[in-house]
Amino acid sequence: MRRRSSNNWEKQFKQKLDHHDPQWDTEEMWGAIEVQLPEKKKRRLLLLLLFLFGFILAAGVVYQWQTSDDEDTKKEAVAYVQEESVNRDLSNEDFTLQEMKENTEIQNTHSVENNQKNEANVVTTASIEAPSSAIKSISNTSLSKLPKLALQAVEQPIKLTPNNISLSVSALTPLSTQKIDLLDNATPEITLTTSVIDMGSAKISIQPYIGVSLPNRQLVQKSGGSEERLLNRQQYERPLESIEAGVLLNLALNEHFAFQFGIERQQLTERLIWEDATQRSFTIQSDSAYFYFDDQNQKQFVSGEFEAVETTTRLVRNYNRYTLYNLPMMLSYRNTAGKWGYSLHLGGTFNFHHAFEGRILENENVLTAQEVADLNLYRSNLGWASQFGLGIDYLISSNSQLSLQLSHRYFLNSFTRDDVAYDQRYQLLGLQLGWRINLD
Amino acid sequence: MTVARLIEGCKNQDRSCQKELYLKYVKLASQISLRYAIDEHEGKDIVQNAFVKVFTKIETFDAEKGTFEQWFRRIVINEAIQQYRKRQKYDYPSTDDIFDGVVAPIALDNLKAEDILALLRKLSDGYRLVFTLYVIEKYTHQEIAEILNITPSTSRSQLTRAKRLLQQMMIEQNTLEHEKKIIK
Repeated sequence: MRRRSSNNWEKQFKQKLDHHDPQWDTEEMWGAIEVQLPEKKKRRLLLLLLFLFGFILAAGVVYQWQTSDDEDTKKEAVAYVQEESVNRDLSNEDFTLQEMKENTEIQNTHSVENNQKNEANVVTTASIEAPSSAIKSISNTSLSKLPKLALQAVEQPIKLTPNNISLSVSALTPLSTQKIDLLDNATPEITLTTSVIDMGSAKISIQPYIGVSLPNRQLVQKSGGSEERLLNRQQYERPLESIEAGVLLNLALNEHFAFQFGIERQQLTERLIWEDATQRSFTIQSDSAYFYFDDQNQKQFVSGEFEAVETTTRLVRNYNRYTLYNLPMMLSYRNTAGKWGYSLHLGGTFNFHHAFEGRILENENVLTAQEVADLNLYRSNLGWASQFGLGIDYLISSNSQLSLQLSHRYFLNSFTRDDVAYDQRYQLLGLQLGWRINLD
Repeated sequence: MTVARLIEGCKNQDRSCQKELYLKYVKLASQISLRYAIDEHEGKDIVQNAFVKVFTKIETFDAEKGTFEQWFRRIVINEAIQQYRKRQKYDYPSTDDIFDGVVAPIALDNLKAEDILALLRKLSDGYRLVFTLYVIEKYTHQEIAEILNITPSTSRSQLTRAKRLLQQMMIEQNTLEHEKKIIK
């Protein structure tokens, strides 16, 4: 009897303990176990060599492509060059929107033979005929008069009065070839950065990621530089946008620290919409195209020839696009709390990029010889950027994690040439989403 | 994934298989370790060391000789005993310290697993070791004697005393709780 009760007590004792469920942090314990486990050295070395090989190959191909693309793009750009050129080469002048507005109405005096009057001063008011879509886009404040004048020219003949003949000329002109002092001389000399992400308890992990960044441009005047030019530049400051995608390889140094490196492609686009005014002088052969109505409302033709100046204002979308190939290298610290992890990244990025600068007008990309020659685009440039990141991650399966990182990048090199009066640098605040896969 | 496939993966040092096996057996390992450990910290150490041993020695596991769980339990227990040996605390108390009266087995219904573990930890290392090996793991006195390098009769006497001590502590605890209820 005593023995049976003792056995029951023991059984009850065992059952109690068998149903006990200690709520321990299994992830933390796994991290401690994992660091003590031996690595698959051969596989790890192979993966590392493969990655390095791919890395070097990609860098070589990109560099080669940039070099060859430089020449090809120049030829292509020259093919686009318009045959007609403007009389005024504004490319070397600083001018502002205010000046452009003023240039939209040009007055010239011409000698005109008239049947009724011997000589008269003819005031020629030139106007534009812009594509309807462009007209709609033009700001009311800046070009309110011009669309009206253009419409008048189309809808009714020009009236000439003996002493003050007002003539509206409607004509299409080729795209201006003047170089715009916006991103103009700022031939990018350097580049952008990358992003990052994260690491974990795995010895080796690979992490593809995508991200967006909000760039901020910094303009700093050089000693002896033109302040006016800098102010003009700042006036055209516009929001920038950047997208990036890349892959990182994470090598754990110990439980918390890791070295990361990888390759990233980033595209930084700077868009500006502005009004472009150009002038063109030409000789008008008076013929049936130019007439007026006399007092009897009879059509009278203007004879002879005279010089006229045409001003054309159009909406221009000017943009810069930098395609960057970044090689990030970072030291990371990471800690975990359950399935969540948080990390800190600090490092730099070696960048080289392909820059493109041009205009978009009516969805047509037009480059000019002036731009190609002066701006010396399509150069391959190298540079460095610093990078700082804060990330969180979440374990979604035994060997993969989703991660989100807030990053800050600063380009140590200026994007402008040495002979430009100011330095132009970028700093980017970005957000990257990544998926880390353990390779062990 | 089945345990057999996980074991195969572990033999190939597949980290994902190792982790899956770990997640499958970590609860069992924790339960076992807590019965031997003097505190939770030591319990975790036992679990971690046991899993490292499991993954590094998994090639020695032979499914024809027994189940993986049996093999695994044995490793965790061995690790717990190793922990005792490291501390060299085979401090079997003298019989003078022990209440030698006869205590009727009391019901454990009112006690939680945590309470039982707390009482178990109040025992000296030697008593706890013998008691756990015999009562929970169902080792024989002969096996316990071989493991702990003691005689089977010593194992028996240690077990008897451990049980008496535990029951005595449970009575005291029940009495204390009863008094608390009266005061309230």
